Amino acid sequence: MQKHKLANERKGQMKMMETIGVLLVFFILVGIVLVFFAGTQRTSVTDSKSSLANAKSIESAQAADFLLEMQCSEENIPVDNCIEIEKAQLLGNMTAHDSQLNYEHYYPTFGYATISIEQVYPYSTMGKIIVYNNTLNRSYGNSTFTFPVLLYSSKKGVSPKRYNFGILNVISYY
Amino acid sequence: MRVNKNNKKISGRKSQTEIIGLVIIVMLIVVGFMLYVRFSLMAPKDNTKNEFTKAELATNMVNVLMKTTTDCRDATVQDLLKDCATDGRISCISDSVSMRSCDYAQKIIKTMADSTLEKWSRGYTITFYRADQSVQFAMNDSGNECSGNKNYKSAFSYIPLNPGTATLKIQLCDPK
Repeated sequence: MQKHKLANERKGQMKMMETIGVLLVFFILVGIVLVFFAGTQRTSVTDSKSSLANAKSIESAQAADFLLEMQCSEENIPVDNCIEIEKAQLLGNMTAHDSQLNYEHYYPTFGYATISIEQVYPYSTMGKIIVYNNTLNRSYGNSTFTFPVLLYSSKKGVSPKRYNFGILNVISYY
Repeated sequence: MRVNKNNKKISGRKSQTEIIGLVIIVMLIVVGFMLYVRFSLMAPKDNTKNEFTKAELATNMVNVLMKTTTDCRDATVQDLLKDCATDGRISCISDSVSMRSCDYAQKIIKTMADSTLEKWSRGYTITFYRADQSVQFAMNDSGNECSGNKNYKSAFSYIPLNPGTATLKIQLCDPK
């Protein structure tokens, strides 16, 4: 009888160990699947952020191109795809030194972005003019949108109808 | 003895059936997993920005190019191209060398394209031709990315002549 009892106990213990082993393996597999799933979800979220940032950079570039504060005009008629250099420099100074103006007026339009213009032809020592600069402290990445614009200088001595070839660069951060 | 043999056979069959069941379940899990990987990880990426950028860039490029003032008697690129397509009276000086309006315009356009499109790794083809399709000049990026490339966007600018028109065409392509 005692031998029979012992044998039964051993069987019970074996079954228990077997069940525990199966459960352990099951939970390890579930853990691996969860880790993998979390990884793919993170990638998917990053891709969505990137798409939104792309859309935002296009929106900001369009807004910058038609920004009245920088737009050229000929006899009060706006000139398309044209930026007046002196206006852009002034705007850059204002946004750099007036954080309230930056936050209230331009942040809703441009968000976290850096907008700059640069002359390509003819060659100029003017360098890059930063019109708006609001970087994100810890950004995952950025989306850049660059396109050509006309640059006009209203300085005295410069030919009144001279339009130079420049580029408008918009970097949106996310 | 016979009973034992039958019992063994039966239990053998049972375990075989169990194993087959396990194998089917594992195969279903693997197939499900591969379908998931196929549809989520290998889903086509959003290409909206690239397509919009190409179209916008081509249009902006041609519009801005035409209105750019050159160092040749302060004539715009459009003026030079118009002269190129007609009687070619304008003569330009570049690096102390006298050039026809066609050559000067081509040089200026190439300079601007290299400083922008080439630098941004954008394939391009720029062609200038008259209404009778006679090509005045054509240029490509250094890698000739647009040759045989079906994924492109074009922009045109038309210059009225008397008679007819001349056309400046810019074609932008994705790198191959």
